[in-house]
Amino acid sequence: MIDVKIEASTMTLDASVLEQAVFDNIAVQEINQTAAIGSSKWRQGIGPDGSAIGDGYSNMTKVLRAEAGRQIAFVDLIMTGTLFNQVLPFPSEGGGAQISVTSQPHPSGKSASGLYEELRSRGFNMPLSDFSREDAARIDKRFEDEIQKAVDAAITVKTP
Amino acid sequence: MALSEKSIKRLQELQERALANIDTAGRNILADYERLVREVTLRARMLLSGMGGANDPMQLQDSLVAIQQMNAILTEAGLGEIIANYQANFKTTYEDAQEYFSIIGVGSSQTAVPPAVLNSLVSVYSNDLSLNIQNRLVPPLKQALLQGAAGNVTFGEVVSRVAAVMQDLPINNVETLVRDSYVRFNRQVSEEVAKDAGLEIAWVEGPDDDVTRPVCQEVINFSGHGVPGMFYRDELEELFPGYSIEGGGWNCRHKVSYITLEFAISLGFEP
Repeated sequence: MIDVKIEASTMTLDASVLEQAVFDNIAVQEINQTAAIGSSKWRQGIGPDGSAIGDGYSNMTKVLRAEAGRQIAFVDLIMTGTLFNQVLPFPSEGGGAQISVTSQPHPSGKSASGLYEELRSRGFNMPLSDFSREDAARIDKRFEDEIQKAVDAAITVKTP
Repeated sequence: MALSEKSIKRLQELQERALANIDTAGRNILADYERLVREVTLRARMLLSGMGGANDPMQLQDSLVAIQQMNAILTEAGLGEIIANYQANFKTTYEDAQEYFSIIGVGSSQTAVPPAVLNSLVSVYSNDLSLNIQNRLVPPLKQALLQGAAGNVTFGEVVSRVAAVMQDLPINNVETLVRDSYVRFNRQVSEEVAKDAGLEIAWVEGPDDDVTRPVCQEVINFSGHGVPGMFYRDELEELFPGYSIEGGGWNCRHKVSYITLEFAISLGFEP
């Protein structure tokens, strides 16, 4: 049997290290990192769950893309780069963060967000539309670690 | 930031001097006015670009009031033209920020104008929105772009409006200009967010194919830290000045993302 005796004359709790803003910033960082990984996958033709964005371009699209100098080996949905550059990680109102597709116009004639949703409704495995399990696990762990760190920093015990 | 009594008094003194010494001292007075205008607008700009979000709308309102006060005094002194550009810019920036933010669903009210977007607007509109395009294009382009951002007009309509005031520019160039203006603005926003959030590493990604420019190939294949396309944020600016906002130039399809150093290391980044 182990006998534990704590001799502490003062214990201080510094609540400032647990401020909401600290965790909001972590959320912004993680959303940016999720978007960065998602963009990297997108460029390689991979959707959020790791499978291909689409089954392959049609023959007609392949001809058009090849004439324009674009790759045709896999579906990456990057023709002008406009849609690719309109998916932005952002702080959200009231704290936290989110990934948004802007509503700016796209050369297709639709808004970028409208085009994004239409592609998704047509069966494309749209990048960044859902977090991957890896992303979710990474974000969970980051918050767990940061909260632990903050709690450790918040409590100071001085022994006599 | 309402003008202090001291500043107002100072402006009134300058006004009196202007009337009394219209010939000999005129140039000096004008210089004084201009200096004062610069000082006040610089302060207002710092307030605008340094806003901290939810707690700062009052500061923003105050800065606009200050600018309006200054405008009234100087206009009365017959020097309105000097500050016309300054005054217009700040009000427009404020309105643009509100409008843009309500659209993308982040902070749709005056209580939350995220500083990153506001900073981006200030930067974009303080510089030349369109690369290598004459000044006369900027105001109509800016207006058309913002209306486009509001979702009220289509890409084709934005292009038509810009083309109407830029008839000597081929339509395909106008399309590229409009597209690039959006992409450039979005990149600026991303960079501002990255600075605010302490994201030190820039990660450039995008296609590497037959039409990729040499500069983009160089950037996305840069392996100075073990992972292609990864740089310290400052390093990217140093090695490829302007790339983080302008990319490789018109029609660039490449994207700059930002991550923490720790996360970059987990992906193989070598500090």
